[in-house]
Order: sequence, then C-alpha cells, then structure tokens
Amino acid sequence: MVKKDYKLKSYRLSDSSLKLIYNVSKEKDLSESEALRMLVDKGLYEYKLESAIKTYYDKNLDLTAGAKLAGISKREFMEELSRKGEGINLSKEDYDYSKKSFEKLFGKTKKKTTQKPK
Amino acid sequence: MLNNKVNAVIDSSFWINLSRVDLTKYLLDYFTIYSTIKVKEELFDFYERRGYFSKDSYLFKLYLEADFIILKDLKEITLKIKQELSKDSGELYSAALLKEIGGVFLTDDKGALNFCKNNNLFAITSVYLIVRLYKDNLISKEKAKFSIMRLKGKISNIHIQSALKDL
Repeated sequence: MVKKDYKLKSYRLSDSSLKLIYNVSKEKDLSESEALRMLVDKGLYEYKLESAIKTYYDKNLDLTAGAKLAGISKREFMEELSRKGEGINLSKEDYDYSKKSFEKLFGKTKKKTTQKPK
Repeated sequence: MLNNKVNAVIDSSFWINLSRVDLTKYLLDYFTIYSTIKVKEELFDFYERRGYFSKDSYLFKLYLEADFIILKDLKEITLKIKQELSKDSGELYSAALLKEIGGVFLTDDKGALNFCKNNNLFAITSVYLIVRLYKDNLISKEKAKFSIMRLKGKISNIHIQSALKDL
C-alpha cells in the first residue's frame, strides 16, 4: 500500500541503476519501490552530511551548528567528522591558547616531584 | 591535589574525548567541575537512542552521582552569548555558566574556543590537558603519547601534532 505522504514523480534511470535497484530489492527482500526509496534516502543523507562537514570546516562552525546542518546529534556529527573528515577542527592557535590558559591558571608546571608517574 | 581548585565548565566534546582515553579522573586534581543540563542531555542522548550507556555517558552519570560534577541551572543567557554560539546548544549553556561562575571552559569545540578568545576567558582542550598531565608528572610520557595518538582522527591533525611536539 502506498503511504499518503509519498508523491509520484518520474525520472529516467540508466540500465545499470535499474539493475542495481532490482538486485538490492531481491537482496533485501523489498519491493523495487522500497529499495529505490531506501537508496535515495541513503544518498540524500550522505549528500547532506558531506555538505554539512564542508560547511563546518569552511566556516569554522561549532559542533552543534554542524550537527544541525547534517540533521544528526552532536555526538553522531563528531563520529562522522572522524569517519569522513579530519576530526574536530582545532588549530595550532587553539592549542597555544589552551596552553596559555593553563599556565595562567596553574603556572608552568603544577609541581616538581620525583614520584614515578602512573 | 591542589589546595585551590579552579572552577571548570565542561562540555560534551571535551568529556567524550577525555573519556575515550580514560583520563577523566585527573580533572579532579585541578578543577571543581560544573556542567549544564543541556550538556547532560547531549551525553545521555546516546542512552535515549540505543537503550544503553556509552562509556562517556556512563562515566558522566557516575561523576554526577558522586557529586564530582555539579549541574547548574542558569539564571540568564545574555544576548551577546546568544549571538556568538548556536541556539539551544551545550556550548551556549556552558558559556553562559562560565560567565556566571568564572573559571575555565574545558572544551574541544571551535565555536566555544573562539567565544573564549573573543571574551578573554580561559579555555583548555582535552589534548593540551593530556600534555599537562605528563608535565605535572601525573602520567608517563608513553601514556600521554598513546592517549594523544588515540585522539588522532577525532581532532584535527595539526592540533595533535602541536601536542606531540610539546611532549
């Protein structure tokens, strides 16, 4: 039965694409329409994700903004950044800023000790 | 352990990364840790979706139960903070809390770091904390190096390389 919120549109596809849809439908035990919808959804998700990751790096966004663009949670976005990108976009300047912050708060090193570290 | 601990507001990116390398306990040597309901929600979202705790969310839960992390409700979020960070994000609520209680922002988020730079607030990333744990003789050089290497791919290479050079 066709769901009410689906709209009908017609597109031309190559033989190889049609064959792939047929094979996926058999493999997953789905109708060809269901298989096509699944593949389109997957492709759209990947497209949206890649576009969000690109924008995240290009515009130096925060993680939440990137995750919202991709339509996923912040945790999932962090995982996708490491799967598809270079991880969270922290720079050398961010490292230096951290170091400076720590040194201002605690001095150059907290303590001098001869105790063997764990 | 230090006599005078510094207030630290922690966000989910930092907590997830530091949990990944099993070094969260050392935070207690330096900081009184605060967090927000929003950050808790971001971490517990894993449980909501999958029905079991990830390592970081489970640790967060334990720290909360032991009162090692103090959750604070916010009195207000100023317009200035709202303009600089994403609406309804853990970073936004954490930044507002930091403004309220003072201290340092423990974050691995670029937006949060930029916010701190623009507002002359202290901010520390998980990668630098690992270097510091070694320099303060709390962990060995090998452990520090291994922990930093484990964050490779999770955090951009240039940040990781800066830490490795600093060891």
